[in-house]
Amino acid sequence: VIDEQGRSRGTFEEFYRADHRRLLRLLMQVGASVDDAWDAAHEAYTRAWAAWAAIESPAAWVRVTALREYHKRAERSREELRRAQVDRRLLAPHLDNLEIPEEAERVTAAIARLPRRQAEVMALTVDDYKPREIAALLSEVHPSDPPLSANAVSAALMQARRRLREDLMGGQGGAR
Amino acid sequence: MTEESQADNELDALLRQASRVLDEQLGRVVDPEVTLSALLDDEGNHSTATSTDRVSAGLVDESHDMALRPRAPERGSRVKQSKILLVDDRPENLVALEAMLGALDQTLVRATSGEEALKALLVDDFAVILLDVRMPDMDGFDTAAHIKRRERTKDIPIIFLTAVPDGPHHTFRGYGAGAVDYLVKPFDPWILRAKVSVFVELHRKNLLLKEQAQLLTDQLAARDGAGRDGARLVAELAARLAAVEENVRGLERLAATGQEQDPETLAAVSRAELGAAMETLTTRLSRLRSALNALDGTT
Repeated sequence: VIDEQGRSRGTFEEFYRADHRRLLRLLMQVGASVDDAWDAAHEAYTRAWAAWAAIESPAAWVRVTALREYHKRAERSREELRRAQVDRRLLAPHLDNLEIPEEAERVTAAIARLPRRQAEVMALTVDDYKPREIAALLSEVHPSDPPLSANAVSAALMQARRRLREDLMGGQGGAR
Repeated sequence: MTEESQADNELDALLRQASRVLDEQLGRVVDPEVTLSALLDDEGNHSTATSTDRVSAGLVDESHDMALRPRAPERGSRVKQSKILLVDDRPENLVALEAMLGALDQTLVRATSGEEALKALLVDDFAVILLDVRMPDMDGFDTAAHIKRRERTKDIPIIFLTAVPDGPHHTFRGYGAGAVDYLVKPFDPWILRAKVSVFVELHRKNLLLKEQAQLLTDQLAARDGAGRDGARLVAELAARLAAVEENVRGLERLAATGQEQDPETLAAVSRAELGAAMETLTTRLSRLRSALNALDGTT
């Protein structure tokens, strides 16, 4: 039993080490502040650890959970927010010291400015997900929206790219 | 078409570069090991040895005097030494504190910032915290607020350390933030040691009490095994106590009425003295009674 627990703890730790920055980045690219990204991500990791043995694909799982968490943030009770804030300060007291270089900030902000679906599709693409996977993932994040197809994701991705090209490289073009 | 694909490549490069930079910056401020230990600690269903080892490994700064930080805290054994957390951003102040407190022969743990102090508190149990008020980033009051908000650490006494020019309003803020005491620099080593040792003693007594309570529970359970159940043992103790209480009531009657009946005896023992002795006895007995009641509740 100890061995099994040890192994599962080990796999979680390994997963967290490899994944946490990617997830924070993803959340920031869809528009979360560093603090909100931290809260949503760590809510997801905490729940993932609680259900660790039952989770088949952890990366997709925490992304769905964290994105949902981020979107429903507005609905959360004050007490929950306070608790999350305390935990966050405790776990990552240096977040205030995060300095994002201008160029990276500009790119992140440009993705975040895209319409919600395009931003999510783009951020997940940057996170190495394929349209089919993104379709499944986002359908879970927004269960009340009509389910997404891989084609719809590809279309959204093309629109996102066009906008980003204009915004970031278009010179005098359509930046707004 | 080639123009578009070229632009796409450029965009991809831009996105990759931005992501890489973001990752790097996040890596600079987030220590995954600390987060992990706290994250997994919340669940509480893992072996403490693993998290302790990892975090203390992360905490041990090689530049610090290793003798002050025992590598593996002996959780299982009955530790005679208590831990004292020293928090100050200036190493020279920490050295001074260590020199002053060295005579107490306790385990001294250093932290050079509020964040480091919070990390140390995730791992270890401390008898008292000496907390510098003036620190960059997270000052002493902020740090204290975090300590007081955590269930596990909220009862650890905090002694704030401050310089004279900080003034009396700081003192006030300190008490508001949960300080139990306050010391103004430069410290008198005797006073510092005296104050700290009070809390160390208190901590030790608390641990002792916990142990004794556990021992009592264990013993009662053991008697269960021997055929005498704990509840019956408590009932017997209670009966004996009731007999003592009966005696006291007799004495009380004697004290109240004895003066007229036996003036000679009362000439030797003043009535006031007898009354005071009775009061003490009554108080003690009521404590014994409430202790038994409490014990009764645990069986």
